Amino acid sequence: MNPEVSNPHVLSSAGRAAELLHMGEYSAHVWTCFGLLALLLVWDLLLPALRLRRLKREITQRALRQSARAAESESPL
Amino acid sequence: MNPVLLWFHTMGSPPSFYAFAGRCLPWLYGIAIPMILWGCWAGLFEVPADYQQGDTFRILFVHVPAAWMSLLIYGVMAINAFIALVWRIKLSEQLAMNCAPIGAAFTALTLLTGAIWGKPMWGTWWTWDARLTSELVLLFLYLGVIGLYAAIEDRRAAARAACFLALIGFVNVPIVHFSVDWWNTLHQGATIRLFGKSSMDPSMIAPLIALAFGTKLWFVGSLLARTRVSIAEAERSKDWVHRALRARA
Repeated sequence: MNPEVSNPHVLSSAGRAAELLHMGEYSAHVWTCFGLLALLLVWDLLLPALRLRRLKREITQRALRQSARAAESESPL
Repeated sequence: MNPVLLWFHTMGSPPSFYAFAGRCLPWLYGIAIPMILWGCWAGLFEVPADYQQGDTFRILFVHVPAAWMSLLIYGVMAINAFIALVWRIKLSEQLAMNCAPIGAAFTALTLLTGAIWGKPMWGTWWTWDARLTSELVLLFLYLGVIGLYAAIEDRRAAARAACFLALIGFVNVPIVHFSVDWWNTLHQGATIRLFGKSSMDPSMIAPLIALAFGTKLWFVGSLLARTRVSIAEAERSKDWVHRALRARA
């Protein structure tokens, strides 16, 4: 029997990593679930930040338009 | 005035809530992220495989915290909906409406991970079992609240209608929770108990608790982040929003 397989403590680092990632025969099932959790958390973290950035841009553009309009109305021509 | 009541009154003011939420966010995410990362790491690599289910049982570390979140978030949404309907507090309306997308995401995650776990263990992606069906109804309730809020133009009227739906839908929460006791289901019963002995192996409990607390703190952070943006969007013409966003830049 290969001691690397029977005893995880003597596995080479690459062999151990491969065994850990393989998850028996269910790697696709397990990793998909953890991937979905990661996706949810990233989406949830980014969405409010993106909304705030969009709002900030909108307010800045409105302020710029207003100051341009004010400058136009004050010009002598 | 009682200091707790005074604090609640202060939080009712949009600029105060915006500033308070902004101060809390780094702490909430700063504690939640390491807890979630450690829980995932331990669940994937440190806990030994289950003697019956092998490595598929590791899906539990995503599925169970997500399922708990789906119910807890609905509870928070319903409480805020009740406060919004009875006392007409705008902040509670915003909190309730911002619970819905987070809750819908966790409920969808529960259903998806349940299906992915069910296929190798039960031999099917889906069955019309009481637990699964009531959880699907929960997702539809969340989507209903989101849809109703988006469908009405007057924001206050939309929030009131959606809060009403959220409150009525709360009846489904105990149905989801007790479905495994009330009906004979394919879904297993509770293995973790607050009171009494849990039937889960002790090595699995620490990562599960880390993920459960981590996702709860994450939810509080996410709810505060979304609500402060909603408040800023609703008051976009006010000076305090301009000042707050300029200070942020």
